[in-house]
Amino acid sequence: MTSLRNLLIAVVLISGAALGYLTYDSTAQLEQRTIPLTDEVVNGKQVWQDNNCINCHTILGNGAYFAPDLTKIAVKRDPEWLTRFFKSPGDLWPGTVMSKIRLNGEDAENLTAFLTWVKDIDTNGWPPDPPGGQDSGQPQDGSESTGKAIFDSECSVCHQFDGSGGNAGPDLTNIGRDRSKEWLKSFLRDPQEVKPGTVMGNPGLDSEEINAVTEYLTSLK
Amino acid sequence: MHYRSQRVAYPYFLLSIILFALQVAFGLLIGAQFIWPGILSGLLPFDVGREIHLNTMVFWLLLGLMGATYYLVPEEAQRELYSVKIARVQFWLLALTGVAAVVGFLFGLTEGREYIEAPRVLDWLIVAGALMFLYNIGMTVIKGKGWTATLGILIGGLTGLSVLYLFGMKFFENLVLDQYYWWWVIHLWVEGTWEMIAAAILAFMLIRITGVSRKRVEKWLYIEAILVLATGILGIGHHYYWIGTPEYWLAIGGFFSMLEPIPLVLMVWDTLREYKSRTIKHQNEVALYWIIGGVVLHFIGAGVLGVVQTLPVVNQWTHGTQMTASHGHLAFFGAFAMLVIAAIYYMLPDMAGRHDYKQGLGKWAFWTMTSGMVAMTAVLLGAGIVQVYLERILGMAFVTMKNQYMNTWMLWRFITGLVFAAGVGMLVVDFFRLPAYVSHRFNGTGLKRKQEVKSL
Ligand code: HEC
Ligand code: HEC
Ligand code: HEM
Ligand code: HEM
Ligand SMILES: [Fe+2]
Repeated sequence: MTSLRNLLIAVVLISGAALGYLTYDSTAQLEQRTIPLTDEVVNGKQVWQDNNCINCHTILGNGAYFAPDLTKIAVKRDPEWLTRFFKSPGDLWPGTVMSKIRLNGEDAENLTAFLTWVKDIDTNGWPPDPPGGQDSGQPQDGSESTGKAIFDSECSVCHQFDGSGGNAGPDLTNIGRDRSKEWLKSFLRDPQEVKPGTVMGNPGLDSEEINAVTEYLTSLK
Repeated sequence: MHYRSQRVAYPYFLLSIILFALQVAFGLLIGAQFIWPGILSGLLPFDVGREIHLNTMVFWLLLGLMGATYYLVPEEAQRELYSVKIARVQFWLLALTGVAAVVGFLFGLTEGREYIEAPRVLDWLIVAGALMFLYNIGMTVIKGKGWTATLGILIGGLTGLSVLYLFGMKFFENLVLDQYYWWWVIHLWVEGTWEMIAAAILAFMLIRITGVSRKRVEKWLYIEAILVLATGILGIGHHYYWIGTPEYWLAIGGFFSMLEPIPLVLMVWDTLREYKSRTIKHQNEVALYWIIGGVVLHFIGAGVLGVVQTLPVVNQWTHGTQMTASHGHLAFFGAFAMLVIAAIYYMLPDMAGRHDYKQGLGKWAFWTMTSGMVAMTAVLLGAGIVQVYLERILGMAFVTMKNQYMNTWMLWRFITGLVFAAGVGMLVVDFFRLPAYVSHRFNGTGLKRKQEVKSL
């Protein structure tokens, strides 16, 4: 019994020391794995906590599973859109569950700065690219099927197409009839320029992706 | 040999059961909001309901473990508790802090970090309560007839738990460090210190309920504690794959956490063995149900459902999905909720000196809750697999996945949750029917034995 007790104490000490050393080393590597903090980012993190975002969303994959993971949200949505969204989510996303959140201008900007900082954390490649999705390494030939994959992951959240999708934005089933391909391409490149004041953010696609999604959207006409 | 001061455990158990019912009520609310987001969303949005669900859980489990400790320590140390008064002041301090925390959540006061959202001032009150508790327990043992293995592992675990809580109180500027130390609280609690506490309380009950020798039970207690800590402390690495920490954690976390189920298997094996070689036929069958059911679901919930998603190659797809929720529910329920309930079922009648109470309702509660929870976690596991496929493999947007493919799953989660809640209702009714001392009022003069509940 005494020897078991001593073994237990040894295990605690050895594992504890190992964890201590690894903690020291992981902290030292923080500088290379995250970009420098600014006051805005730190204040934005406080806003993040004060508004309990973690109890609906995950970030770095930890949190609640009720709403989308926000680790890379600043890659998907442009900063202006995010800031406007945090000031009044319901205006940009009619019917959103988040509508009770209404931040003042400064808090909203800091929060955007925080999420923008988060997107650059070196997460060892998480989240991985979906092997069955648009970045699967298959040639991006601008075809309809690539376009469908892009639409499902980037646009279906807000738009209906051919009977499925969200309804924050207009149903796009007949968009091919209403708008020309050229119009769609320039709209997707910069929504604000084509439709000043529009509530749709810049989707941040490159021109091949824009071509593919445009082909897909106009395929039903 | 029993001691009068063991009865301070009663109010801890009472509040524990009440908060458990509250936790489950809030679970049903947020479960419903998954399907019908509009329900009460103005008054009690999902995030508020969820933090109350999680914090009442942590709180009722801790109260239950404290109550069980107060019951156990005098008997092990062979003397009255050092101070009944401290135990009662501590109880009220923690109870009021808990109420304040929940009221604060309702008004939007939160630190916004899962499980440990209570604001800073309340954190300090909790620390004060923990210090009173440790002092009281420690003094009892020091003044008592010496240490036993059960006491050592129990108090070691309780001290570790309290120290770890301190790491959850700070505001970290860097999100990576924030999550790093957040896991010190969450992971090193459930897969380290709480595990020690639970194993010690289990050993205490096993010795008394099976009549197997202390020497044998405590030898296995040591072995389990050694293996839990040898795998669990560095097993924390399974939370450091993707949060911005160095890549070597993939190897360390994967290796050590793969070994974590070993002590859990041993616990099942050892408990069943003690049960088979029991030397007494104990009247309190319901307590035995919860003990044995607990070790089994502990193994399945924590061991099996945890280990399947612990290697980086799997975890990169399943991280932060309904699969996590499936594991979280069955692990917390099997490892700690069932143990606290077992302790209540063993200790309350023991306190009253009679194990011959009517056991029908207790068994119904056991089977209803257990099957409800197993079914609920099976549904969550299915939902998680679908989610991983659609969102992580096909790349469908989360919101599209949730709105178009999750409703049926979430409806079944809600229905199985209702079954579980029905079992909780039976448990609450049964709690008040269990033989126990009624006079646990705090009249300042110690616990007077006023009247013993008659058998029912
Ligand atoms: C009550 C739960 C809840 C809370 C609290 C909450 N969110 Fe959300 N959020 C959602 C849901 C659900 C969605 C998806 C849209 C929908 O269905 O309404 C969403 C969407 C978003 C989006 C848009 C995602 C996209 O794909 O464009 C962002 C950005 C966001 N939330 C950030 C935040 C931040 C930052 C906070 C804290 C200030 C927060 N949310 C708090 C539930 C919540
Ligand atoms: C966060 C929600 C959201 C997302 C994501 C989104 N949109 Fe939009 N979209 C809107 C809203 C809202 C409008 C209406 C804007 C307005 O009229 O000012 C809109 C308008 C449009 C229009 C113009 C319709 C018209 O005739 O004026 C097109 C085309 C469009 N979106 C395509 C897309 C594509 C393609 C994607 C994916 C790459 C996408 N949207 C992603 C919300 C969104
Ligand atoms: C009626 C029964 C219950 C229902 C309907 C329910 C529902 C829920 C819901 C909806 C969530 C949020 C999940 C998410 O973020 O997506 C949750 C989280 C959680 N619940 Fe429950 N719950 C119930 C009972 C319990 C019990 C008995 C326990 C433990 C003893 C428990 C422990 C937890 C834990 C640990 C989490 C966090 C999970 C995680 O983040 O992975 N729940 N519950
Ligand atoms: C009693 C013991 C345990 C309890 C109560 C428990 C509870 C939990 C909870 C609640 C979470 C979710 C945390 C969150 O909110 O983000 C979690 C995550 C996790 N647990 Fe456990 N756990 C236990 C044991 C284990 C064991 C033994 C293993 C595996 C060997 C394990 C592996 C994991 C993994 C890999 C995750 C992360 C899942 C993800 O990436 O989303 N757990 N655990
Ligand atoms: Fe863990």
